[in-house]
Amino acid sequence: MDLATIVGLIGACALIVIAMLMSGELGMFVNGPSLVIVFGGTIFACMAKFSLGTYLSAMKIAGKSFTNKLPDPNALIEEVVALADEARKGGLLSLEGKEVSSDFLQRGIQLLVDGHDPDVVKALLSKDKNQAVERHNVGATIFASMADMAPAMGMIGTLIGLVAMLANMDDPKAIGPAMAVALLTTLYGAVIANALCGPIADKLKQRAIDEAMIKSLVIDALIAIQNGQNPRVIDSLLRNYLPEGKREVADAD
Amino acid sequence: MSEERRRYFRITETVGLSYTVLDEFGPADVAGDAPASDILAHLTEQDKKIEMALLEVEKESPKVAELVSLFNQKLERIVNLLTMEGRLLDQIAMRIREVNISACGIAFTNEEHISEGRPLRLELTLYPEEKKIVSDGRVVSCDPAPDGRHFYMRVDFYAMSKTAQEELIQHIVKTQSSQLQQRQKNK
Repeated sequence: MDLATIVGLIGACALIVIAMLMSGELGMFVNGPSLVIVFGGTIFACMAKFSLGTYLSAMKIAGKSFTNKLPDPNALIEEVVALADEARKGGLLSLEGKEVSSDFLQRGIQLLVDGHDPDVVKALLSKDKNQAVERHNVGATIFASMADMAPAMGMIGTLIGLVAMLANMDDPKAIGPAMAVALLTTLYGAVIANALCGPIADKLKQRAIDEAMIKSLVIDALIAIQNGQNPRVIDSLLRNYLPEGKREVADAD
Repeated sequence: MSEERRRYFRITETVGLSYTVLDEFGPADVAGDAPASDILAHLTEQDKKIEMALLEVEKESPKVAELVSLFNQKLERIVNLLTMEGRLLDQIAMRIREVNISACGIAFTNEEHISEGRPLRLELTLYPEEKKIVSDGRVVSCDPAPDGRHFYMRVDFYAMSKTAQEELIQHIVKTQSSQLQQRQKNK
């Protein structure tokens, strides 16, 4: 579970709701037609930009970004260094059936055990990595597109409200409430763009970068294991992936 | 190393292998056989005595001293030749053979019997990279092979340098990977 995403989104929405409550009654900020125009309009207009499959898979990917936390690189390095040591002492076949932290690493180990050429191992795993990055980038593009679209839909809603208001100027008392309702769609659009879709799009972009790094690290580790490389050398090699401040000193064994 | 033997996996592969049986300072294998190092020490001792005697003879008869000195030089050359020949006989020529190898020992079929505990100097050539590894080893066992004409010899490496062991480990893992690839192709 990626706490930052959950806490960030819930926190932002909660603050907006608190601000609404402090301004008066929460009910005055809720309007059915406005919600339909902004949420529905944003979802459907965005759907028109992409294929249905791509659009729906982006929702699934966004869901995964909330639930699946990427492994800690330091822990991952320790794990693959231990695997390298195991392979040198017990052979590549000793890695078969080992419990590992990720499916990607499991798949790579299976390729090693099955006796695939290092170039083939690298090519297959790199393809997997590139596809994962591509999926996240497509997801990020869709959510960025929603973040662009939502304020425009809010503006459309506001204009509809204003037209309706101006068409009924007989009752001056109704102008205020009608104006408030008209402006609600702009508020909804801004909230969707800045408190929901924008952060999710940026999160997916960051996730693509992080996943590419983690998977590149695993690929390098597996190739080094296949070459019987010294675990300490592997440790040093892989720590180059980490920012200097996050490079934990490896235990000298 | 014997504990380490169980810690490293073994593979069967083809390597270039030659070995030299090193001097052993324990009891001789065959009664009456003096170890080569003892003979050489004995000859050095005799040389010192000859030199002392020559100094005394030289004063009385320089010609005799010169003759004895020439004989001694001749004998020394013969001894050197015999020593070299002995070393050449000990050094089994580098041969490509199938061995069972790990990072801490090697086993192979051999024509000659070498008794348990004898120290050897092994020279390995690892293929395809043609990497040379030299290490001392100790014969762990030397049993008759099933064919009845050869012996199956197990040798533990000892005093192998860290660099050589590292190269050997990497070679063994890479070779196992290549063998797995071959098995995959043959499926």
